[in-house]
Amino acid sequence: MKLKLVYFGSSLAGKSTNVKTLYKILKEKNLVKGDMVVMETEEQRTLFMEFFISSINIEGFELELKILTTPGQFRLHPLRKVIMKGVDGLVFVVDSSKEREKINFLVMRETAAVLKEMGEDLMRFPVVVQYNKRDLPDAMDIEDMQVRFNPWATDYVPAVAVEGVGVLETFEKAIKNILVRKYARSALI
Amino acid sequence: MELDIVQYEIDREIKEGIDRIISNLFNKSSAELVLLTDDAGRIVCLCGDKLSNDYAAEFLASIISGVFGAALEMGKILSMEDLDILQYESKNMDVVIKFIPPRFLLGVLVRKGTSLGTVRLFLREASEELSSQMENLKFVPVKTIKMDVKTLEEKLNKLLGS
Repeated sequence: MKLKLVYFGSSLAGKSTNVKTLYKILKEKNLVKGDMVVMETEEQRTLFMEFFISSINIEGFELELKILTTPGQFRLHPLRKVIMKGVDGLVFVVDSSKEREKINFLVMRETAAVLKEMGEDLMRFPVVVQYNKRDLPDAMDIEDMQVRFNPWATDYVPAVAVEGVGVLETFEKAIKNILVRKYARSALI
Repeated sequence: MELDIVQYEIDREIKEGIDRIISNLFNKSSAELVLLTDDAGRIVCLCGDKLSNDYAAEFLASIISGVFGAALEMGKILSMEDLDILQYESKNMDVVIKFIPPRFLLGVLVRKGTSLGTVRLFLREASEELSSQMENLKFVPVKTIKMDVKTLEEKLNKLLGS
C-alpha cells in the first residue's frame, strides 16, 4: 500500500527538521529506502519539496510511505498545492512561540482551502498536530494551543524536533490515523 | 472495536490492459523508460530497466508529478489552461511528460536523436487508449487485516520504537 504523508505548517515551524530527523532515525532502524531528496535554497530554506520513502510491514501489510514537506514561505504557495495532491495524511507542525500564533492559524486556514479544492475536508482528514519548539521561553500553553490549532480534536504531540523529541511519536500517530480513518472498512470518513 | 484495514489495488483486468499499452509504447518509441504515475506520484506502471532500483523509480515518479503540477500552476497564472505536454531536453536524453485525464501522467525517456515528434504521436495514441482504460478504473480489496486501534498502536510502537 503506497501512502503519502505531508508535513505542513508555517515557515520555520520545523517541518524540514522533523522530516530530516525522522529520516535519520528510520534509517538507523533500516526502515527507509534510498536517500533523502532535498530541494532547498542556498539558505537551507525548502524551495520545492523534501522527501524520502519509508517501508514498514505490519502483519504482512507492506506499507510504503512517501514522507514530504511543503515549503513554508508564502511566495511558494502554488508549490504547496502541488505537493498536497493525493495526500493520505497530514502532520500540522505548529510553532509554539506566541509570536507565531497568527501565522500558524493562517496556514491552517490556507491548508483547509487547498484540501477543499481537492474535494477533501480538513476537519475529517487524518491529521496529527505537533506542537514543536516546546523549549522556547515564550511557548504557549498546550491547552491554549489545542483550542486554536486542533479544532478537530485529533492526536497531538508536544515536540522539540531539533532534539528528536516527539518526532517518531508524531510519525507513528500519523500512520495510525491514516490506516484507521482512510483504510478501515468501518472508516470514520 | 476491531477494524478491517483493507489494502486496495487496481482491478487485475484493467491493470493488464494498462501494462499492455505501456509496453507497446515502450517498444514503438524505442524508449529507455516509460512511467505511468498518478498526480500524487504513485507509480501505476513502469517499463524499462534504466533505473537501478525500485525506489529510484518512486523518486522519479514524485518528481515528475511535482514538476508537472508546478507547470500546471504556472499555466494557471499565465492563463494556459490547456497545458498538456511538458518536455525536457538534455545533451544525451530527452523526457516528455503527458497529462492523462483525469489525474495521471505518462513520462517517456528517450535517447538523444530519437524523433520527439514521433514520440509525441505515440504518446497521444497511448494517452487515448489509457483514457478509456481509466474510465473503468476501479480498485478492489486484495488484503485485509483485523485489528483494534489499541493493538495497531502497540504494533506500530514495537516496530518503530517510539
